[in-house]
Amino acid sequence: MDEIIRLEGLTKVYKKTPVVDSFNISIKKGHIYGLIGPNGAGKTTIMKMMAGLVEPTEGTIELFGSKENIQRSRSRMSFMIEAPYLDGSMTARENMELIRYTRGVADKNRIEEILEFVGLDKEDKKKAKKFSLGMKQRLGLGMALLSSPEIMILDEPINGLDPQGIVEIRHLLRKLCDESGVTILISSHILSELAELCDDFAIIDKGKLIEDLSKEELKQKCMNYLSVSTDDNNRLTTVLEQNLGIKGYKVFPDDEVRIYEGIENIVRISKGITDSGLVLTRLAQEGESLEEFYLSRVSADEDAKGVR
Amino acid sequence: MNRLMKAEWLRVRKSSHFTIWIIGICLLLNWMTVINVMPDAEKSGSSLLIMSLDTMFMLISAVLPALTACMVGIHFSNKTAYYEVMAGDKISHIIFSKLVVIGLGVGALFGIVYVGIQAGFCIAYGVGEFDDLALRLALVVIIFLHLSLLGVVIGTALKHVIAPVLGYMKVMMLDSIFMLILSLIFEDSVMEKISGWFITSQFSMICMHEISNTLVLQIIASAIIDVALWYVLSYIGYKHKTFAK
Repeated sequence: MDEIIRLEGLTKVYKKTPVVDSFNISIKKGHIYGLIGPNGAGKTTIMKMMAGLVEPTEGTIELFGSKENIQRSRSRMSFMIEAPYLDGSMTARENMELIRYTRGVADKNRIEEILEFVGLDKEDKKKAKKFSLGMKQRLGLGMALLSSPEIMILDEPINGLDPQGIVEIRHLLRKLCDESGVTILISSHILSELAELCDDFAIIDKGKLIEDLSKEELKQKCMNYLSVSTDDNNRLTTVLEQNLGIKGYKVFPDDEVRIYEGIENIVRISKGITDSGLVLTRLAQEGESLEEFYLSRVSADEDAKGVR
Repeated sequence: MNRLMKAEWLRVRKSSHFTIWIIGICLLLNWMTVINVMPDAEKSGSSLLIMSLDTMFMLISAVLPALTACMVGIHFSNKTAYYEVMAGDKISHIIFSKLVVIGLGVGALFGIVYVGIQAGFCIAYGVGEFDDLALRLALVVIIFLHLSLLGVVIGTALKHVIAPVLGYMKVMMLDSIFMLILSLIFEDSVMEKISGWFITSQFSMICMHEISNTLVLQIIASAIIDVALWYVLSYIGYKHKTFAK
C-alpha cells in the first residue's frame, strides 16, 4: 500500500461559508507532508476532520487504504491539533498516564522514555497549567508519540519551541519517518523548517488547494533565477538589455542582480557580460525559498481572484 | 472500555478539587440532617429519613447532577475529552466509561454515606415508624444514582463546562415546570398517580407515603428513561461531532 491517506473532495461549510472547499490530497506511506497556508486557510479544520472532531460537509477520508470504519483506523494515528489538549491540574507524567490508558499502551516505561526525550522528565511536581508554551508543546508532542502511531497529524508542533528544540523535533520526526516508516502530516508557520523536513507540500488558501508538489518539484520550480554581481552593476543592466536583450531582471540593494529570463543559457549570459568588459564577481543559479515560493503562489491566487 | 474507565478514574483521582467538593458536600448534607434530628426526643432511622427531605434531598437534587455534569463538562472545555474520540474508540464505550466511573461512582458514594449514617442511627436509636426502611433507603440510593448518571449524560450531551447549569435546571426547573403544567391539566387524583415519575416528588413520596409497587416501578423506570433519553442526545452529538469550535 503506497498511499496511506487520501482526502477526496473534502469540504466543510460553516454558516454557508466554505472553510475547506473540495480539498484533495494523497499522502504516501513514510512521507512527511507539509500543509502550508495562512491563518484561517483551513489547515486545522482539515486536521480536525481527520481526527474525527469535525464532521465533513462533503467528501471522503480514506485511511490505510479504506474508507470504511475510519473511527477504528484512528486508533493507529495520533494527533496534536491546535494547542496541545492538556489537563492543567495534572503534571506532565499524569497527562501522559491519561493518554497511556486512553490509548491502551501497556508499557509503563514508555512514559519515562518519552518524557526524557521531550525534556520534561525533571518536571515532576509542576502542574501543566504552569508550563510555558514551549513546555506545553513538548508535552503535546510526547503525548502524540506515546502510542507509537503509524500516522501523526501535527498542527504547528514547533510553535513556541526554542531553536534547539526545533532542531531536536525535526531530527526526531525525520528519524520516525525514515526508520519506523511513520507518515506525518504537519503544518507550521516556520516554512524554513518545513522546507528542510518535508517530502511533499500542499499549499492551501481559503480552504482550497493551490499547489500540491513534491520536494523535487519544489526544487525545480524554485531554481528560477541567476544571481549576478559585477564590478559595475549600473552598466550591467545596460549590457543585459542592449547586448543580451534581457528585460526580465531585478536589481537588489546588496549589489545583486537577479535575472529571470533566458537562464537556461548561462554560458551566453556570462560570455555576454565578460565580453562587455565587466568583471563577474558572482554568478550562481539560485531559487526562491519555500517562503518566497509560498508567498508568490498565494499572491498569484489573490491576483487571479481579483481579476475575476 | 476497561482502559477508558481507567483513564476516567485517573481524571477523577487527580482532579483533587472535585474529590474535595464531592466528599465535602456529601458529608455536609448528612451532617446538617443529623444535627436537625438530634434534638428530637423521638429520634430514629425513620425520623432521620423524614428530616432528610427538608434539609438534604432538595439540595442533592440540584447539586448532584450539576456536580457530575461539571466533572464531565470540564474535560470538554479543556479538550482532553477529545483524546477518546481521536483514539478511535466507539461512542458507546466513551459514554459508558463516564457513566460507570463518574455516574455510578459519585452516586454510590452519596448512597453509601447516607445509608451508613442511617444504619448507625437505626442501631443507636431504632428504626422508628417505618417498617420497610431498607426498601425506602434502597429507593433513595436509586434516586441518587439517577441524579448522578443524569448529570453525566447531560455533560456528554452538552460537551461544555456549562453543563452543570443544565444539570441543575433539568431537575429543579424543567421537571417542576412540567409538573406544574400537568397539575393545571389533570385533577389531583391523576397527579398523585403520575407525580412518582418526577425526582423532586419521589423523595417526598418515599418519606411520606406507603411504598407501593407502582412507586418502585416509577422510580426505577423514570431513572432508566431519563438517562436513556439524554444518552441518545449525547450519542447523536458525538456522532455529528458537535464539539466546541
